[in-house]
Amino acid sequence: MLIGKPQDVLSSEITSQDLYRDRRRFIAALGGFIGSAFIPQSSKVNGSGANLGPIQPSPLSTQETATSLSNATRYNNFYEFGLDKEDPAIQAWRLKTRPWTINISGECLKPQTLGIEELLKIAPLEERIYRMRCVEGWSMVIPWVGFPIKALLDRVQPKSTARYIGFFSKADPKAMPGLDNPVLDWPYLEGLRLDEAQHPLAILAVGMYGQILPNQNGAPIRLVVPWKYGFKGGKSIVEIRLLRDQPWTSWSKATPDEYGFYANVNPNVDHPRWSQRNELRIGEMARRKTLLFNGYADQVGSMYTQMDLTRNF
Amino acid sequence: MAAERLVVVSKSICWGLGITQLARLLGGVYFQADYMGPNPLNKGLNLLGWWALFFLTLTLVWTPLSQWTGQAWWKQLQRLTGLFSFAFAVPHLFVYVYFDQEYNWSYILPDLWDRKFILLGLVTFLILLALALTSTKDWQRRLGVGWKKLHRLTYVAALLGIAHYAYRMKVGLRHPEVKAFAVVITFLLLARLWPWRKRDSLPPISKA
Repeated sequence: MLIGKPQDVLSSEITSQDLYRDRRRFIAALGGFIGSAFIPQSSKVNGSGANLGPIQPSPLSTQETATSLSNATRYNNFYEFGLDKEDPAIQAWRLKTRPWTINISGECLKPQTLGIEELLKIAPLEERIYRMRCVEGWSMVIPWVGFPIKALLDRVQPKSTARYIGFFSKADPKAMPGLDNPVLDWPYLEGLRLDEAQHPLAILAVGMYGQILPNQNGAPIRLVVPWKYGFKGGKSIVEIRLLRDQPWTSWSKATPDEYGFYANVNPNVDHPRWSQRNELRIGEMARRKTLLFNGYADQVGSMYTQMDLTRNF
Repeated sequence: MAAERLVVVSKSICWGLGITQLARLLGGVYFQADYMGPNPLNKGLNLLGWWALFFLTLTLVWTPLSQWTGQAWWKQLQRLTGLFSFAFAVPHLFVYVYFDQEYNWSYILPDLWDRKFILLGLVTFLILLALALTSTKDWQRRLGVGWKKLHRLTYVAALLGIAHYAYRMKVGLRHPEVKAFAVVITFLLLARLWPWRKRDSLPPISKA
């Protein structure tokens, strides 16, 4: 069976390689020129340019085109800095991210407090280009820099009684004007089941786009769980607790029938007030279909085979 | 100041506010490269919807205000602010239908059900459309007593409008701006329904 006809003339036969290369250069230059029109003069990317040292690529990265740095740093949900998407880019400079420590306690053999400098050395830093799907129906592709949560857990050695893990975000009223809004119970608390936290895809990110994390994206260290809705990714983490019982995470506490503990991306389970079937990739005009577990079903699906995903949303 | 002068001044203020906001938005889109930000669709929809609801709420202010101040001329602002609400609602709907849904009915019809706030918004728009079309003196005469009844739908539109707004926000009614609109609209509605308010108790136009 013949599927499709081979092209009679290959494009390489009629275009000289020099011209072909030139065309690519021309398009790249054009792209830069057009792109620069959209980058604001006063882009507030805190800490941009700072180096993280050697970063390894990862086979777990997606090949999809990353969202522009400009969009990823000016469209953020970080309610501690305000409810509007633009607020974090304007307000987040107030947060001091050095010195910084994370206190790890609870059901583990070696509870400890680690400084950010030690955390950066816990495991080789990897670039993880992940899809990020917000529960509101938009998405991005972000090249995070970080290390698997498992590397940190191995350091503190969870006891057999530890079944869940809670991540507490910074809540500093002096730096975070959004804490005045009683929309959530502060400090922001997110959580995972221990096996979810130990999954190779689940990371603690300390950078993005090859540089240290901008404040509005959760500096100096944040949770990234790419198969779950974005709100699961707690930002500016100061405390990690290993727990026997499932924690009452901030969003599920605020509206339990709308935001569940699991919050796995699922096009077949609607938010009570809107469909999750599709999403707007920031930078695109047309909506695209949302994928089960945000396209990571092959890697993470086996953790949920025994679960009713409609009830455990 | 004579009532006529006050009407002219107040109307000018409303015109100024409406026109500057529309101009700000259009100017931003055309002349300021980054005005619309990373999600231009949402920003456009939010701004247009916000101002539509603002002018709709303002339209409900004039009747209680004329009662409390004993100055009936405030009510002459109703049509202007109501039409400004409609003037923001039209591009709001247009951005949704044309840019967000690409004028494709096979997207829009399921979306009415998928995202129920879309349905709420559409019903609100249809009410505003009916009110805008019948806002002329000619229609006022033609509908007689019925006109007043029809235009009480402004309250229904405001309540549906606030529901449309709250329903699409992640935190719903707890969002401070949503809450502020909801409180003001509820207050204005209660002021109108107040049980001991005498029917048509408007004082005569003061000669002062």
